Amino acid sequence: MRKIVLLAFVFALSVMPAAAKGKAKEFKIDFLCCGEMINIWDPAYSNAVLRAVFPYFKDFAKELNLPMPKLEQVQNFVPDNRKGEIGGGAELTNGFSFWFYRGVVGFYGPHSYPTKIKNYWSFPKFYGTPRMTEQEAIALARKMIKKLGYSLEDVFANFEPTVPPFVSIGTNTIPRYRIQWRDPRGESIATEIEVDAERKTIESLRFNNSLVVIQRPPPKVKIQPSELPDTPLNPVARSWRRMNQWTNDINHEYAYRLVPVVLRAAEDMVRRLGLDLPLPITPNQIRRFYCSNNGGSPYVDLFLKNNWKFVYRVNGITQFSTSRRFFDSEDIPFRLKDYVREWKLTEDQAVDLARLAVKKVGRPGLHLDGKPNVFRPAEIKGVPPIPRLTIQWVYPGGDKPRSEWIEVEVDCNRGTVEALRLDDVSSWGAPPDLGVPIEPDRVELK
Amino acid sequence: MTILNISLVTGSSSCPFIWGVDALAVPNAQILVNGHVFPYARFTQAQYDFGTPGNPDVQWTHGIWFYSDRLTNGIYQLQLQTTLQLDGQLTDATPFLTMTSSEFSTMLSNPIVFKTWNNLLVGTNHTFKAQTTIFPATWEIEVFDANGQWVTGQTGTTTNGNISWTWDLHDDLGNLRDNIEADPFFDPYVTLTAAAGTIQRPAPLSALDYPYIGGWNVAYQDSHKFYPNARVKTIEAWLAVVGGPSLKGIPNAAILLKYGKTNDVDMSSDPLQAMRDRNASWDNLKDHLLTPLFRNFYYWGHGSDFVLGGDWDSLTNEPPYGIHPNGAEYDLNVYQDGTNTVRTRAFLSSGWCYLLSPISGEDPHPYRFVFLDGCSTAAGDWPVPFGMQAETNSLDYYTDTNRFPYVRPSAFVGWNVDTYYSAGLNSTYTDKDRNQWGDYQKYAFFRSQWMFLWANPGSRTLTQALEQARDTSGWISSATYEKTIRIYGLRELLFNQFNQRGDWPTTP
Repeated sequence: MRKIVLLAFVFALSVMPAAAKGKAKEFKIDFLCCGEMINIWDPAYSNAVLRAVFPYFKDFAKELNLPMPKLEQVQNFVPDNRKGEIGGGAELTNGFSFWFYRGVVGFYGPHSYPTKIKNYWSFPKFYGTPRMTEQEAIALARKMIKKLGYSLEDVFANFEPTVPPFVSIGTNTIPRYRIQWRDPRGESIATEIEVDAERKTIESLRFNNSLVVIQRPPPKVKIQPSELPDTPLNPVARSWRRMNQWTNDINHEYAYRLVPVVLRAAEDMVRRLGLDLPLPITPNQIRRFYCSNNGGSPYVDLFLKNNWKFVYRVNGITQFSTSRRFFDSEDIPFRLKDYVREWKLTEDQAVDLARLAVKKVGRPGLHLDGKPNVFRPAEIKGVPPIPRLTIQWVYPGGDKPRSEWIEVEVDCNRGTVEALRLDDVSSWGAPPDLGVPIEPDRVELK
Repeated sequence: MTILNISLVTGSSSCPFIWGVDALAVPNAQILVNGHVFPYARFTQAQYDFGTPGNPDVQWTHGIWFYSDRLTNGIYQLQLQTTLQLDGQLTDATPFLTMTSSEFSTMLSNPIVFKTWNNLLVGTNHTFKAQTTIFPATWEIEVFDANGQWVTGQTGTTTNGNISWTWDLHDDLGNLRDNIEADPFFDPYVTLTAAAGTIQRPAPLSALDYPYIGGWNVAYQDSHKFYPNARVKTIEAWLAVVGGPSLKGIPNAAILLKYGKTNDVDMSSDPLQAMRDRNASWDNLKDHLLTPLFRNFYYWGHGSDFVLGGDWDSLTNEPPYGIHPNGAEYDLNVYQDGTNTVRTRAFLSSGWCYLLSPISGEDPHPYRFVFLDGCSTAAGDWPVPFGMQAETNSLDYYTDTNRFPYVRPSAFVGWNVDTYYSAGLNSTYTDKDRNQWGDYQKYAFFRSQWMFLWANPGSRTLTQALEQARDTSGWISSATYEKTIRIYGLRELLFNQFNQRGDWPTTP
């Protein structure tokens, strides 16, 4: 009897992935987590990217009344080093620098304080006399954001910024307002504008890459970069070649056979927690399926087109987050107003809810009885209450390697779980046997 | 671990050990006396003759200098406490294990006891103190310099065992010997003559507490090659930090610590030569640390609880971030270079730094300021060998003349977690404790701002300079800053305060 069951199991395994394979290949699995590193030293490609993004620099300069950049002023341009990310940064002979990332432009002027410090003797060059107030500087900064076509809300500039005091050295002052609007999802700086209070000019402007809501598709570039050179004369290129190979470290056939396994596991998680994601999950709902070999077991990031996200690790789903997640939402369009609600759960109730959710999907015996760490949205003056908490249990604590790392984001208005992380090392068994090895055949680079 | 010889302890003894593990795995060891760390002991690596007079077998081994005459005579329980580094990497997860041996008893009966001997010469005169179990007796204190040349001496008698002499720092030729660059340490001896005969013991090496002006060592490990943009900015920031003391006319050494593999930027294509280069740069740092002129130390590179440095990036392919460095690792190759065997020396352990200890160091060498700007440097014992404690103190604490040793006010800065920057411009990295770290430009700017604000005009306290640098740079939030930085000692220390020999002791 035992033998028959075993045979039946093997049969099921051998049939199921093969049947799913055709559908799975409707989309392309991403085998490089962070993009394929490309040859940015290829002059043809570099020039093509520069020509593609330069009109954006000019539009940006026009809106901010900066000196109009000219192509012949470019003394250095470094394209983005990931395939498909058409962008990069240019340094001009007049001291200006511009960069382009996913449709968003930022810049440093020739008098930008933090970027022009090359050594200790650079500092005194910035001494001056302030001729405008902090409020005037903030107003100027907001005006520039609007001129660029962004709403203040999208870049958090409708709230009160942090403005560090002027750097003063004896009677000397560096009259720079570094206006920083913080991101309530953490405390990182979302938008930062440097105002020269003596010249009454903007000297730098940068938006954090997590402001997905203002990002736009990049322009197309027809030229493909040539292959990365493999020469000791360019050690960086050589190391990027290795990165491309090291990260593309899984047998592709194994990865394609894994697709239905991951989708069914995600559906199972959705059912067990009663989440409101329509089922089944089909390949045409997938925006990105990244798959890697994490030391002999698979690791998958599954992003759906509706911004839900799952992580499959070793032999099961270890993380999910809904499209309504607040924390860790730097990869989706985010507007704070969507999260401003009334608090309806207390912290204790949120902890109970989190514990209940973990028990539904975790094994018995997880260390959930201790007092968890509780993370809240950052407190920023002017930001209304955001009823979100992340409840975290880590076992063991201290410096020891984590064998249980559990996090649950709770919407304390709706009383729902919006994200869950359940990294439980002791539940990691054998990876799925899909009839092919997970290790790829490959030739090591010298 | 095996203690080879510690049962017969008299005076100061070198006690060699056999660990049973690779020497690289032992960053520190200490002696416990009656269950407490004994400060008058110093972990060392030395050549030891394991052979016989007719058949010497000299090998490098670990050991501890144990200054038993810093204890009053009696029976003590000794233990060896060893810190082991459990893997060959210095990463954000490097495990360290501290093990303690079982106790064994030893009986001390030193004829001359230096428990009250103050080996830091503070101010314009200094009192040497010792006790003897042999009295009445005539005593003589002879002072030699670091070259073994006679300086001065004094004789006296004791009827109660106490020996005491106040020296005005002049030699027998009338020269004032208050320049530590000329006299890195003094080597005193105490001789007793009593009815039973004559006995002589070396007293603890003693040194002026400070140079005329305390120099700076500003060391940078070239460890950002994986991210070329970050490398450019961090090197610029290092040059800015170097300039702080320079612009104030303070002696300053810019120390570049080589890093990387043969195919990395600036490294030789010959792996042996690359190891030689890295080793030489770390030897250079150690030489500078031992030079009495230098009393301020800024290090920027890979760190951990007990070890700084490493040879090259330890890379990890950690989902979802992909391949990235997560610390440093040692080059474990062993090369034959002529008749010599060459191994990595590209690291600095806290155990080695006890050479500088104002209590047990070969040349007592307390530091005024130490900022170890690397991961987890506030998690181990780093303040101690530099003459500091992992605690915050007020100026009143330092001016208490009953404090021993009477080192001048000092400050230590380190991080109690692993520190990060985000490799992408305008991006943020969130670590597993949900601390958020800004991009490499902000990371670099924090350092240059700190130095600029502290050094200029010189009236900001250390804490103020660090906090404003954090504000201005935007590298980390105030919440992350408070959770991760540790500032020990006198947090209100000014940039050049107590940095001249004459500044201490303070005059009311």
